[in-house]
Amino acid sequence: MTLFNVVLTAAEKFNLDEVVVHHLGDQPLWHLEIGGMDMSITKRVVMMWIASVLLLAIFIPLARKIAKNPYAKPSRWQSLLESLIQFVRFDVGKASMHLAHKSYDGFLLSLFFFILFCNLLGLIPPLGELVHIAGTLFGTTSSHHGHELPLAVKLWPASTATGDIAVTGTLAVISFIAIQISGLIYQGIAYIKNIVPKGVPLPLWVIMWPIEVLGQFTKPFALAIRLLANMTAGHLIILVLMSFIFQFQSYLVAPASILGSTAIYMLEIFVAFLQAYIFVFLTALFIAGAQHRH
Amino acid sequence: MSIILAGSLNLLEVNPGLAIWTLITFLLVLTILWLFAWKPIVKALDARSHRIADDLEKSRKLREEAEALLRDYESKLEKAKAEAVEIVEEGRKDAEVLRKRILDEAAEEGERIKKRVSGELEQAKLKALAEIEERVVDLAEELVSRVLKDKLTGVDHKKLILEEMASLQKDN
Repeated sequence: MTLFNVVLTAAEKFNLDEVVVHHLGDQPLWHLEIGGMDMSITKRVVMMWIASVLLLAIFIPLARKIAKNPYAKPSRWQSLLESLIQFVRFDVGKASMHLAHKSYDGFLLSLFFFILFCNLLGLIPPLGELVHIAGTLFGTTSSHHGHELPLAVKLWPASTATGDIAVTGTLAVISFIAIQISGLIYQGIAYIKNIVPKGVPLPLWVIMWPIEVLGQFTKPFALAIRLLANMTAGHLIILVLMSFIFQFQSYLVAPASILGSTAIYMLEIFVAFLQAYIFVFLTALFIAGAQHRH
Repeated sequence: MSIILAGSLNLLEVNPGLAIWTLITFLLVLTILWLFAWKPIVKALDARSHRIADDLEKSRKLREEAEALLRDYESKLEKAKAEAVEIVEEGRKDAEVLRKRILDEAAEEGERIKKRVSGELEQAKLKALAEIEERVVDLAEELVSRVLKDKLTGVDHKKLILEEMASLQKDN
């Protein structure tokens, strides 16, 4: 039941819970089961794939173009991407791990742009759903499909992939693995003992070591929660502001709601960049921290 | 908890299928981008920034060279100007000296000419006086001889002297 269906069937009572679940929750679009496990292609999986296809479609041609003649004057679009790339390489990578950043450029860049694209795509409304609803409204499309959603809705389900703990958690686990591996590569086995800062007396060391080990897990956990919360909160505020119109059943609320959500939407664009930056920046910092004993 | 559990939506509920899809997707994207995008892009961007740094360094050197050259030429020009002024000054001085010398010489020559002329005049005067003297002596002698001859022949002395005087006047 969509927000718009609620409007269409005025007889039905408005239910914020349903709206939130529909817009912020994840629903399977194609059911799939592999080895007894539910591997359904959900809304978020589709959005993630769209983001991935965009990433490949943008950066591989850019790489070909730039490799052909590195000294040619870059176009505006190219300059924008180049400045973002250089920002991640130098202001994130080099700023936290100095010369060691070169081995991590590819990882940090992939992480940054993957998160950024997922964040930004989540800001675009479900256009397929809008077309479908408009069609139902003007009677050109039948509203009785049964449970099957039209393909346009499925191909652009408009969901924020990074607004799900499964996605942010997985990315955080990947970060965690990168941090631990770089620690082991740089310090060898001594890394396991060196996670406790230098100069700690032995009795204290015994207490601190488990705490520091726990800290290794809380860092990526915080990464996952931070991204999830930031990506969900803005959407939730927009939904709540819009819901006022339906809750109060009044046109007078509409201008305030629309103005408010527009403002939050602008903020969300900023947050999309900011959270992608924070995720990679903290990952880079943690990698740098694991490389050297502090 | 109302945000984490927004109604029937549990934000902390992990869907393992989605997690596995995320892992697969991200690792695939990471590998492909690393090989086909980041590697060439990073290489090209580094090459470009090196070239820009080199160009800047080169242009700085060229500028320094050009400035040194300019200074060199400026000093040369200054020297040449001073030299030119000196030459003109020297020429003027030479001309002045020459003029003075010519004037002095001319004055000297004039003086000499004047001296020579006056000497010649003196000489001529002396010569003329000598000649006159000689003539006077001759005349006197002649006169005396005539007087003496006439006395002998008995001619009026007065008449004789007058005649002689007239002939002398006629001679002159």
